Amino acid sequence: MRIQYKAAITALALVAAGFAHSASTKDIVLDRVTMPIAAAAPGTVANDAMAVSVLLESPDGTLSPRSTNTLFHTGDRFRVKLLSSRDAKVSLYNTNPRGELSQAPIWEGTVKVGLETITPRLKLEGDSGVDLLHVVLEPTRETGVFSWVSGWLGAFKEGSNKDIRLDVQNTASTTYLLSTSGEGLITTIRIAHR
Amino acid sequence: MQTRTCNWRYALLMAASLMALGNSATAEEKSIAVEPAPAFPAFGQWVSTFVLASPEAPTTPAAIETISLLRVVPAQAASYEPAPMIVGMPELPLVGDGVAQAARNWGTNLNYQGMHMKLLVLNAKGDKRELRPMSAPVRPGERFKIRIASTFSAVAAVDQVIGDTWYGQRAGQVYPSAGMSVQMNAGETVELPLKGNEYFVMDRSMNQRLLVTVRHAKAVDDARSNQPSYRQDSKTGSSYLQLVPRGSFPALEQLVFPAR
Repeated sequence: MRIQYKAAITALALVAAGFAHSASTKDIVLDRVTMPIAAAAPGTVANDAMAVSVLLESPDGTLSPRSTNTLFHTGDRFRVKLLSSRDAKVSLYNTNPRGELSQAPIWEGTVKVGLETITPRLKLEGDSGVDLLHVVLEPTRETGVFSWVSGWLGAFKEGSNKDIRLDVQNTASTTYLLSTSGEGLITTIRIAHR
Repeated sequence: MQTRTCNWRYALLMAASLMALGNSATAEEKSIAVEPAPAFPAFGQWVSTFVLASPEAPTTPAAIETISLLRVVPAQAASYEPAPMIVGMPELPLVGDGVAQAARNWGTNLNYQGMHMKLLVLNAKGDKRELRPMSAPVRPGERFKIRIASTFSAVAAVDQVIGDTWYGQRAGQVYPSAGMSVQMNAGETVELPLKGNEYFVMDRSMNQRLLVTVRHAKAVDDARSNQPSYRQDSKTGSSYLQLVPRGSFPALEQLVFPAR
């Protein structure tokens, strides 16, 4: 009898391992941005999913996708590509090398489910230090986005991000983000100045 | 020991059965929803069905002519920034009515529309043509044609872009003559220039490059798809796909660069 229990537990563990393997953050995000849940059940918190690529531009005009954890450099020309699990406002905020977060976004746009949003061509210049470019999928709220962004960044900076639960997977070409604690997502691009 | 082995097998069998149940449920849900497919493999099948793969030697090499490109830049030349074109695979799958039949009939209800383009480069003698993808530069003085096939009925034209690499200037249409365009049916292969003995030639002057535009006739202003195009290169050609939101039409662009 004990052995049969062990067999059943082993079976469940194998199944769980199988599903865990087949449902990486990338897979979940791609499912969500491709076929989003049409309507969340009443009373449930909507969790966001987003795929972000930094598109590095070559002189021949082509764009090569990179994940947001790639280190970029002064003078690189790039665009940012976003896919989201819901129609939303998206924006870019900058933290300059002195650590100051821009009060207003340096770019704002919208993203629609099933379509890609691409920013205009971007280029950050500087002499030293590192510029940070925060790619923001805004929560559904009319005001207070800046304070939400600074709160999120502050929480991660101080290592006290207990309230923000986030699954992230980077591939060579894309960063996949999945919130497990409500609306809104941020990923940060670093541009190093020589 | 034997009992234990049997139970391990039993556990594996149970696991396999549960996994199979899970997979079949997922497969059913997906097939009912939108029957998605990876976009480029499906387009590759369309290309192998419709696109001419042979280079075919020119019939009258002695009578070869070249298209003269503009030497004078208009005073009011419009600034030019390339339309977003990503070298890589799109993440959103191919969906829409008729995904399974896309290799033979790429319908307008599919979320992607596509194009195949390649260079046909004439050798110095003028008796052989080599196929190249659009990622391959053209050497100054080389005579070439551009072979195009698209999944949609399209109009095509070639403009000249000159000046700064990042912020060039559109210096006018070089083929066909200004105000005209080449009409193509869906699935039809067309070579530009159209005349069999005509070829383009580029040089290094003015940092010259050619801009090939292939678009639906209605893809004008806000009716152009605002989505990036994706390109995949093989040894002998380049394939392009673009998401086309409802109410808009495909518009694809490719720069032809001279070798440096």
